[in-house]
Amino acid sequence: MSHKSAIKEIQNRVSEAYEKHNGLHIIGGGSKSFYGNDLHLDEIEVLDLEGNGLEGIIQYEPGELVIQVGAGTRLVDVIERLDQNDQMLAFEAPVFNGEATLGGMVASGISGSRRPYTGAVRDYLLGVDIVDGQGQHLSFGGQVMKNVAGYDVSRLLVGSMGCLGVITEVSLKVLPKPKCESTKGLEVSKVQALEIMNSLQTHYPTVSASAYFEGRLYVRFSGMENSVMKAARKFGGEKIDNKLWEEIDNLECFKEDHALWRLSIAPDSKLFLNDAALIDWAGGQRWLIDPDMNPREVLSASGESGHLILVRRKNKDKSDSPFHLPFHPLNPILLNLHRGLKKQFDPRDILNPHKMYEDF
Amino acid sequence: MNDFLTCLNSICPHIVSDEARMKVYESDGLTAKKCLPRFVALPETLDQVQGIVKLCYEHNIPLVARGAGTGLSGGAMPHKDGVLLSLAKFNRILEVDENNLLARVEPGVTNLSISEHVTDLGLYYAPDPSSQIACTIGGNVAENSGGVHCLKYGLTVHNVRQLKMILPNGEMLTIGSTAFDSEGFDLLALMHGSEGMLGIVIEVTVDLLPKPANVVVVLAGFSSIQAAGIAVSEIISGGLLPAGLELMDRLAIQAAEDFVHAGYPTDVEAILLCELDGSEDEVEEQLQRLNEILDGKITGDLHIARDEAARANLWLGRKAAFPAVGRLAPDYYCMDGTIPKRELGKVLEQISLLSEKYGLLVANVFHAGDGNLHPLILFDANKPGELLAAESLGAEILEMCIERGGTITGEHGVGVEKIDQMCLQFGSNELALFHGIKSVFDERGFFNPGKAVPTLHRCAEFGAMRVTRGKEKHPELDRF
Repeated sequence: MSHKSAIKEIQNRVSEAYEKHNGLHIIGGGSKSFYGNDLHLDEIEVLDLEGNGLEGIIQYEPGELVIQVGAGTRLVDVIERLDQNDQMLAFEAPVFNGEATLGGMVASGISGSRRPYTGAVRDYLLGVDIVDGQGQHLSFGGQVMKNVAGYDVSRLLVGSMGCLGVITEVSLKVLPKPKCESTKGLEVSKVQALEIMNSLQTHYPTVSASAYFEGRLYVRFSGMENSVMKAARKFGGEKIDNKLWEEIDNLECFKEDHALWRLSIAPDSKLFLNDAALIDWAGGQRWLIDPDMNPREVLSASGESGHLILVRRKNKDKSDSPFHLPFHPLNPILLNLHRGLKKQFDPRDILNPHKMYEDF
Repeated sequence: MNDFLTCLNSICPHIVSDEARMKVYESDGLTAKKCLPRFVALPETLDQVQGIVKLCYEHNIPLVARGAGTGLSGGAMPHKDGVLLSLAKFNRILEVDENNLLARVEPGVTNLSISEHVTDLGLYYAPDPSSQIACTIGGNVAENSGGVHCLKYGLTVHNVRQLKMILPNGEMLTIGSTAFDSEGFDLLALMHGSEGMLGIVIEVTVDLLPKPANVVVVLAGFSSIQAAGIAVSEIISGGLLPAGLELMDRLAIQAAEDFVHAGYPTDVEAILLCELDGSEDEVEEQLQRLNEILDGKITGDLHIARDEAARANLWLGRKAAFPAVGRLAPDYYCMDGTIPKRELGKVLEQISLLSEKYGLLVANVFHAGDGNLHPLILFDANKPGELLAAESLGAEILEMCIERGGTITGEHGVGVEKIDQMCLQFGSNELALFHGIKSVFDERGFFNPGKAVPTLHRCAEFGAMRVTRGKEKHPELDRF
């Protein structure tokens, strides 16, 4: 099916669901089915985008530093194509067994190891096309790096979990790949590790990833060859395979049958320093496994600014207790704005209902 | 209105209501569009801002926020029946957090003063719009300002972590976080470039970056502007990510050289200024790569500026380009389209044809790395019809940017200036959604009314005047 007729078909499906007030569960590659609230599948239809014609690179010229792709394109295919031209997606989103698609990447907004140093998915998104909750095909942003015409709807969609529209096309800024990368591992205490992580960027301008787990601090340097080699020598420690970062980004360090929480917090915070199974993003991202109590209560009591996502539940625990809500609750003012925005994009609450928040 | 003024005075002691003193607020940097407000308010405290917002909300009086008024699209042009809210008195840097590389500042702090404040710590704030000496960070958020370094370091939206804002109903809201991301939809991104339509920013937490240890600026001359455009693509596809990559055409070079004597070659058709930064090794390796890429393609020698004085001198001509071009004619009109870089040659050819058609000179200065064009249209406002001709020429350039797959504004915003061209850039459904988003935040529509997003009615009237690419953009609308 052509790209155009694929979009038409999605529009038809959404329009029909809109008429009937039926919910739609949007699935791309299905790689992140564990992420977000469970949808009550007996009540809603599945809108499976797998193999429906939204795949493929629409436009890519290395000199532009921009790639425009159908939302059904697999992330691994985009990475491979960019790699042939020594370019990359600088936010290192997880590929999850190769199944992740560009649409899902934008909808979930999950970024990888390079995030604190070069930015997140949202930082590289230049444009999106969507089908909204009434079946209208809309286009925002474009294929240029600087664009301030209209509200930034493209970035608003990053991390919105399909609640605002079915993403059909994505344009991203890409970056040249570093000529050289080197990862080192160093045995230090957790407290030392956090101190080092917090000051890495100042002392090592080529740092491109940092993580601490099982008693070791891992740091990656990226850039021109000499500067990377010098930085790696100065840092010391043992040479580690660069593949480590893919394993971290794809959550391969964590066993599946555990509750996995992600804390996003100011990098120098001491919160959950001892309990975190893995600390990365210069200290700003901490992973908790099977915490005894609701970590949101701990965060709230601390008064620090941050949020927690229950990334993966234990034993597919479907209990509705607040302990099991995947996304961090919103304060009343924020919730009101979210409800309002949702109504504008999806007036009948049919796109991924309750996937992100119980309220819509 | 007298009741309103009494209330306004009781909330905030600094209210200006006489025409003579309000005159300085009648326009922003786009002086062709001006309007006196009903009152100007200069609050000093958060309570005062909240009080003013609530008062305007209750009386449904338009409220336009303003920073330093350096914007170039009329985004801060006052409303004739409304209050102009100046945030100039909110000019304190509240906190510098060295561990997390953040600075918490008030919205009236100037862009440059943030970098100056943290320079002794070896840090700086990356986005550097050319007005950085005067423009405020609140205005930068409203316009999502760029600058010469955004190819590598991003726009304002990439360098702000958290905002405190006042919503139209007077409620205060914090969006974003001192962490790298926050819960819910990315409202932080939505606020950037929203041109004062959704909320009033009253505190900004920006990212700070360690200053690069080494910086070099390279100047290369070219025998044609097309050759310079090709070099831009080759530099980027060759694996370099320059901190800045600027292109100037012959007219702009000559004007700059006559004005500040930066040592630019005047026997070439175009120059590229390329800034490389990083550790000493990093810079040397990039420089070597740049040499390989440009080998045999340039006219004359590469000028390499390594020390600060030499770098500043090379940048001087570029930074003075606008005022320098301003010396060539009584007035100039600065455009701000963005195009895919591959279209550069065709677009420049087209601009030179338009220049002939209207009989007005156009000097071209570009942020070449990201395809952002700043054609400067020279005219004399005192000559009958020239301002109108300049505006028509500008409008044609913007329409061409859309046709070439680009956008009508890269960094200056829509404001009042490009509101008609928004009808060409977006369809009715997208525009309707923009109005929907606005209504979620500002149901009464009293924050900066009439800016940034055209009404569908306006687009219908505008569309009746012209038909683009042989088809109407809003065929479903009535024409009258």
